[in-house]
Amino acid sequence: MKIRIPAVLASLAIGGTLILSSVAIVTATTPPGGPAGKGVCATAAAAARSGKTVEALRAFGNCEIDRRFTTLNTLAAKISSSKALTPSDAAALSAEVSSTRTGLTSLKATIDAETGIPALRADIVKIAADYRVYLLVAPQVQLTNGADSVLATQTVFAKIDTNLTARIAAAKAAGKDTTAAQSDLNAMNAAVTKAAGLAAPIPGRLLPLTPAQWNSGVAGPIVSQARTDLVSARALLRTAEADAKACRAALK
Amino acid sequence: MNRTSKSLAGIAATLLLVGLAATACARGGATTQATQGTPAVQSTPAGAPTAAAVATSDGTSSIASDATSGSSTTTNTTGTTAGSDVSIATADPIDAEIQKLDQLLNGVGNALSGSTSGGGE
Repeated sequence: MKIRIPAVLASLAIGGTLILSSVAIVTATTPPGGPAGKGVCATAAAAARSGKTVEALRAFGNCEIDRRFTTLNTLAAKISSSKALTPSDAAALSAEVSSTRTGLTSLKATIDAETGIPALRADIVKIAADYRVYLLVAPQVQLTNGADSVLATQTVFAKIDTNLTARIAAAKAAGKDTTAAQSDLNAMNAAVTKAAGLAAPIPGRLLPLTPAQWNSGVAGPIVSQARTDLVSARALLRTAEADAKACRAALK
Repeated sequence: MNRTSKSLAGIAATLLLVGLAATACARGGATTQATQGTPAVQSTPAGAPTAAAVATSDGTSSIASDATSGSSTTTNTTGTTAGSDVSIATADPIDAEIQKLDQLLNGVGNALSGSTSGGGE
């Protein structure tokens, strides 16, 4: 017995180590943060600030452009893989991502050829100001995709409505009181209509916006309002979903 | 010596069990999915559609038609009656639609969270 207790303890210790190793392996497979984050160019920015050489400024500019390329690739992948985006919205967004990439490629070539510090500084300012990848293009893609997703739920809710309407009719024919179920179904449909009303104008408002409109202060409030409307639409659809479940429960 | 042998055997058995458990944990997602996809052992948890329901793209199909498809996909390897398998595999088509809704609404949530990064601009 004196021998067994330490042996069991040793087994548990070894076993625990094995479990922790497995967890560590799983954790290690989690990808790190993407290269498009704003901290990616911190070192290059510090070098550009302290050195103030053409090489340092160029390196910083290229780093900022490269992380935007990464972001644009991510956005392009999101557009092509989206099941919610309408074909016209997807085409408009793809064109915007493509033109932004073309513009930044041209700017990169300009930066690579630049030899004077003042000109380089002016070029670097253009990376953000002329393209607004993070403040405008990314929200355009994300919020348009979100709005189209809200609109896509209409088809799903229509099927639920058809199903629940049939159940209510059957329950009514069987002599059951369907007042509560009908009320829940009406509430569901009202919430869906309201959500769709909030989401429908979003693509049309966002897609025409330009970096110049962002810089002049026109685009910012429109993007902000689109985000607010999308939050409200999502909340309405969650309520509608709960109404559908309540309707079904009321018929059981 | 005998005690030592028994202890060593105990350690070996424990390690084997722990190793199997760790492997099972690492493969948990895939294993669970595979189990759920097996019609013969499939149950119908509340709020979770069965594989047959998920596979039904047309949410307007009736419960009766779902029951039919459920029986046709059930593999009766244990000699149980088909009727009992049908009751196990029957799913509410609304559950499948709600699952679609959840996916779309999660997409909206991701779109909202992905739209807020200023990226240092």
